[in-house]
Amino acid sequence: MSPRAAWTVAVPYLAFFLLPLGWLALTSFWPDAELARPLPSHLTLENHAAALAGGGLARAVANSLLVSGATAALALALAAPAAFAVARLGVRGGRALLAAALAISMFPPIATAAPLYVALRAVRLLDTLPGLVLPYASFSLPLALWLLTGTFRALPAELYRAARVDGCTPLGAFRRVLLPVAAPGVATAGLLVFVFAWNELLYAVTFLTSPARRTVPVALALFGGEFRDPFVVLAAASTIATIPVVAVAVLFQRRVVSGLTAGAVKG
Amino acid sequence: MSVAGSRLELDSLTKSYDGVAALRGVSLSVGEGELVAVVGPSGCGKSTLLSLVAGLDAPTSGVIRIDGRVVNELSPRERDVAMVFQSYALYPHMTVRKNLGFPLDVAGLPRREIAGRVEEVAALLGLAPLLERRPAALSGGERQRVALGRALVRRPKVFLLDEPLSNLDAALRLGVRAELKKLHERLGATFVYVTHDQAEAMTLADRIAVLRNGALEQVGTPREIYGDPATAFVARFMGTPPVNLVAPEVLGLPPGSADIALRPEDLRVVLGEAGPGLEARVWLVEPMGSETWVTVERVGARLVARCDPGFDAPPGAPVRLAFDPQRGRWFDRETGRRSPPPRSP
Amino acid sequence: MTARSERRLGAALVVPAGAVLALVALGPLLATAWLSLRHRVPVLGEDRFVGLGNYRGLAADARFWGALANTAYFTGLSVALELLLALPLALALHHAGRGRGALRAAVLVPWILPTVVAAKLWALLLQPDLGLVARLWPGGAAAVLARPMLALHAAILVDVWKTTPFVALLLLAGLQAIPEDLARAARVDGASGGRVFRSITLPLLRPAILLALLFRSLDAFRVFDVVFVLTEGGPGHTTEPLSLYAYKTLLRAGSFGRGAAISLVTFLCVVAIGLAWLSALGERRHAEAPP
Repeated sequence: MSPRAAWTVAVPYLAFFLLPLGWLALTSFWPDAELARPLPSHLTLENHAAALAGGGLARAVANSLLVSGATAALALALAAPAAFAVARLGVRGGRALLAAALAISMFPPIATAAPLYVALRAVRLLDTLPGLVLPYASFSLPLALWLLTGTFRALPAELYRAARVDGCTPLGAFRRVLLPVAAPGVATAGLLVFVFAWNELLYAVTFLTSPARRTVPVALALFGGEFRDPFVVLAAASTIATIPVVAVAVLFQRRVVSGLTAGAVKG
Repeated sequence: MSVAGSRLELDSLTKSYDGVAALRGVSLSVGEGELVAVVGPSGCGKSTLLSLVAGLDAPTSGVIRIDGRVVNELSPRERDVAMVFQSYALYPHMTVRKNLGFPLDVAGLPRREIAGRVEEVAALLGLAPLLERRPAALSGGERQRVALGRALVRRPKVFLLDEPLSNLDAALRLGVRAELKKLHERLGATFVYVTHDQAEAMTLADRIAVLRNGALEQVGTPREIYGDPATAFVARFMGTPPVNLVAPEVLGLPPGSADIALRPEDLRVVLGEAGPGLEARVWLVEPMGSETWVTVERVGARLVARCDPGFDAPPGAPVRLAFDPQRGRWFDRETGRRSPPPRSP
Repeated sequence: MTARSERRLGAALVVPAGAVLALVALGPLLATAWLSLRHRVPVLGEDRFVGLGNYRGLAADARFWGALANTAYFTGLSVALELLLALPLALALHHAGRGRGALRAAVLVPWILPTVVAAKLWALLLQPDLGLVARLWPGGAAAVLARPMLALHAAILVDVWKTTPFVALLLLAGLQAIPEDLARAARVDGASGGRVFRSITLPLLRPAILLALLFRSLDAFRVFDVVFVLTEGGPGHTTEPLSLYAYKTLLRAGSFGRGAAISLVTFLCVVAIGLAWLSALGERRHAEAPP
């Protein structure tokens, strides 16, 4: 297939994927009063303001940033040493751990929601943001583990050995040599975990009850009822909700793609 | 800058992985300041040997001693050995300066001393203009020197080199080989040098240890290894072009249970139908510039001889082959071990 | 430090991750299984052991079978459509020369959006009066989401829109793993572009395709977000998948035992699908292993 043919094939897909989003963005700038018209006469930001303020979207974005960031940090802190151990230190049962992680990633979230709900309520973490981070980190661990194990395995074996001969303890070699060199892979894993946490709905909607704690998906899902004519405001809210992740896609496209495909191919 | 060398003793080292033996009862001692080359085909266990000495792996059985002290239980750091890896293993995220100083930093030396030693080694190896660069910005030869420098900077008791030249272009290899030899002379340190290239071993080593399938075939000086091989394997492995190992009938000698090995330089080939010597036919002529390698065919066997650069003949041309039987070495056909020349009737 | 103590350190480093997985993932699963054997409605203060009673109830529950049918249909159709659409896209991504980065970024966007947003987007698009579809085809989109069959297909449409890029990327990885020389050799042997695709590319792409099918069917069977946002299972229960049914039973009806049972059935179905695909993958690997 020549590049030109490739682009010819790609165009309908691009239209299919991007036109709806374009329309969404346009609608978000559409003045409410002019909805019946085929096209708006001018663009306005009032919908976005309404979504952020009245719709509680601003707070939801803050909540999501907090939860997603904390989840990524926790998942990486747990997975990186474990991946290093499996890839370089020859842990017995390393393969079993990865297989178990893979199996766990196949759970329907609903299957673990009820006991987690009960457990969180028992330790008074229900309807709190930290209470969300631990289940999130746990469910993104498989992805982080697979990606990071692959990353550490791909590093030349002699780097670790050279660091040891140069006098490092295993942890020292991990900290001073392997981790810095693996930084791109770690960043990719962190990014994918962040995206996963940002997009998650089921746990968020199950474990968070008060409006002040809502994350972006929940705020958006439950958006309708609070406005009389929510159409354009909903469009504005949706558009705002897309901005962070679209930024990630555009800025980190290569990372995200390599992470996705590496994780999948290794599987 | 000179570094006092250490004595290294390997006592019946054995290493098995999952029941497969990589090293079998290897015993070797390396004297202070000696350069011992460990040669053998790939898979013979030479890299395993190095890992054991470095402390990256533990032997299944056997003892390793440095300056008389048993080091089996010591970590690499505690053994004070330095290693140059085949792929150099330079830390890609550090500058050359940081790479060189890394082992000293790990050991907790004061910053001023680290800087001093780094400058010293950089001067020795001509790395001064490269200190602020990253490995990715270096050529193969430069990287190799940084790897060497990182080992040197520690002033270790023993240097371990794992095929340090095999990743270099052929042209670069000879020059660096010479530099390594001069470096060893200058430092007076103890080197254990692993390679699959027997020419490297011949030129660099004080002594050569030939390893095959995890066991030592022979240990000796280059001259001993070349001129007095203990087994047919050693005879065949060392020397280019390879030695001619044939049944005695091929050379008109009485048959027996041993084969005879003759170096190409010990065969004389003369063009012509008649004359002294055995009849043979030219099979292949390879002009090397300073000499010509001529492969001849006789009674179904092929032999290579070193001839004058002017030798030229088409395949099939008749020649006469001559040699001195005293120069031949005999090896038992079954065991491959050296056997005495058969008594002439 | 010897090799043995290195392994011990390794085990220690693995423990935190393993513990979290066991505690937060495995533990609750077992708890759900245990819960499914009880009748438990906290709000009413009821809690007693009923053995397989919940499961017997499900077997007789029309809504359960409906949910199962919805889920199966959703899974089957989504996955098939996504695969068919993703293949040409993957080829395009593979062969696009300049601007391939921009193309990939653009294609990534639908996948990287929260499902909620994608669902809301299409809800807006399909809105009977104001949606884009209604504007372009007046009268065409009339109340799509209010019609049972159409609503389920709308959910499938959203899933396809969102996930085709992901499948395309999986296939792209498979394409990139095929050595270029193979296609070139085939061309020299006289094969046309189509023939190269059929005889060389497609067979070598099979593992990637099976992998994509595996991941996607596991994900599709667990569908929740799309339907929750788009129709909440309505109209009636005609678009309700298993996960949503379980959710409603757990949190709206407050019947934990029953909800747990539905959750567990969903889990077992997912496991069955996973094993089926994995064995298909395994067979492939064995068939292609060198003699």
